[in-house]
Amino acid sequence: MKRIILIISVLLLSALFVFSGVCFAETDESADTRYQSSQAYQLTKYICENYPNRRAGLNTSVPPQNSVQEYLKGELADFGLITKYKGFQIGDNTFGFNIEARLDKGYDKQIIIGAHYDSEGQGANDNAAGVAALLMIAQELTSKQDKLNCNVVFVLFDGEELGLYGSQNYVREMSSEERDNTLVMVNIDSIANGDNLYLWCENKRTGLADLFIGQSNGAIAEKPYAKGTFNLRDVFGYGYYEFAQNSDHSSFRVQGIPIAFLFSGTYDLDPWHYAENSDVNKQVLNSSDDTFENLDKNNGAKFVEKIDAVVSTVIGTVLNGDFVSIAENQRSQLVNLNLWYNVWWPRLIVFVLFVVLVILAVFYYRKLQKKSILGTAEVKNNKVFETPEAEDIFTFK
Amino acid sequence: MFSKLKSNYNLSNILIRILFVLTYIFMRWQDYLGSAYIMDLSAITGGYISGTAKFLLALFSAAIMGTVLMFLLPLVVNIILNIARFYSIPRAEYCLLAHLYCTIGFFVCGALNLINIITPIFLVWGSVIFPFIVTVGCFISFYLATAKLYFNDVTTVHYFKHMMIVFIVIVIGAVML
Repeated sequence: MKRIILIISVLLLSALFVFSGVCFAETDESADTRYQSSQAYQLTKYICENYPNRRAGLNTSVPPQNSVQEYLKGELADFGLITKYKGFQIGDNTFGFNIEARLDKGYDKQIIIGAHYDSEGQGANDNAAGVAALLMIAQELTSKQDKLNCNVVFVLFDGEELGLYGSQNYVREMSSEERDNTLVMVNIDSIANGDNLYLWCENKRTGLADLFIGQSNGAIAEKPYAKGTFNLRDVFGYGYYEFAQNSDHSSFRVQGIPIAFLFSGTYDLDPWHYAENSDVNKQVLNSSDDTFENLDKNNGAKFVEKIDAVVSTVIGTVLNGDFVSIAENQRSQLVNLNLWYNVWWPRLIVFVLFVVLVILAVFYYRKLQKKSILGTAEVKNNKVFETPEAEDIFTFK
Repeated sequence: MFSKLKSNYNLSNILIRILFVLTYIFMRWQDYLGSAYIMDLSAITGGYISGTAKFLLALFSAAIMGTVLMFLLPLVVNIILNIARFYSIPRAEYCLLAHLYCTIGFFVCGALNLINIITPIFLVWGSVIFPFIVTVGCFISFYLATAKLYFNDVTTVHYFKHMMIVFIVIVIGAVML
């Protein structure tokens, strides 16, 4: 009898063990794939798979039906936003289209939240993920618009990969009043594939950066100051060059509009520079390997977490009660990028000092001339080094 | 130690020339590193180039340029001395002093450039003002040292005039442009 009870007990335990294993396995599996049902995942996948060719430059002056422009404008309009295309010319017969959606609450001040939708190839990380984040932010802020303390303008830029065409054109069309009333331009670009999420506001500590970082709950770090900064090629008008300048926020920053740039990558791989990913094999930026399949395979749930972190950080920051006052103060904390200030002022100062030195030298020359009349013309044979003797040269000491 | 170096010209010559190249690297490494990053080297090599490799490449490039300058400086100094018709000064020693003061200048400028690692705020202003301050400082001290050593009251006037011309050319050519 005891043996039967023992056998039954063992069988029961085994069955329980197997059953629990199956249950846990199912739980793990569901945890592994749960992220795939998230909005961030679905949006990124949808954009990549349905609009794999988003290269800027259409041959028509109006976006055709079933184009990515139509889809994005439609999505933003569905949230209840006032949307419109802002077309611009790229080449002789090619056109780009920024998509603007306004959440106007009647305030004087506004913020611009932007992401570019054009890409080289499928562009899952650069920048379908950023577009997905912007759509999620737009949806969320529209539903919470009563808590807003400023107007919000969402802009999906075209032609970024060709050289910030869309954003430059957008800023050019802004009136000076509109520029003055823009508290900050938040740019979301390539946020999904890197190791870490970074924020870049200014190459120094500012209140706005602190607010963003505080709202991110540790998900976002501030870009290390001065890393990847070189005094060689000034592309955008900063006076120097760094990799983090290569996106649409630069068009706004060089016009004196404060910016907050959210991007992913790492500054740990290379002691002096930015890298997209610490794993060299996962570096796909601006290549045909920047596909949704690779993004999912290389990052899994992490890329969704990054998009969600950006979305919650931007929403938390914009809805923060102190946001408007901090953002207004940001303008006074900007480093002066004025061309005159950066390029000509230091040269002018050097030139003035140089002229002063030359004048002083002329006086000194006159003094030397007077001294030479009264002075002696003795031959000076001073030497710092004594000429080595022959034995010193040929002897090892 | 300095008395030993003073008595041994060859050793001083070698040491100062080595320091000249090293301080040149110290002064310019950030610029060469920037070049290494901005040039799309991966397009040339066809593969990923690590930051360490780019850093070493920058140091190597700066070392080559420093070495070239080290050999060019005596040539330039000799040309200037010939044009100014200063035949009675010990050329080798004079060139060695030129190397020495350049070395000091490179070191000070390199130290000032380190500010750029902490913050890029001075990147633009510093790139113009730092070299000017260092050039002025080194030039004046070099002039005073050499004038005291090799020139009397009469020849100093002539020497000063030529030094001013060289200074103007250096400042306008290398610093302000």
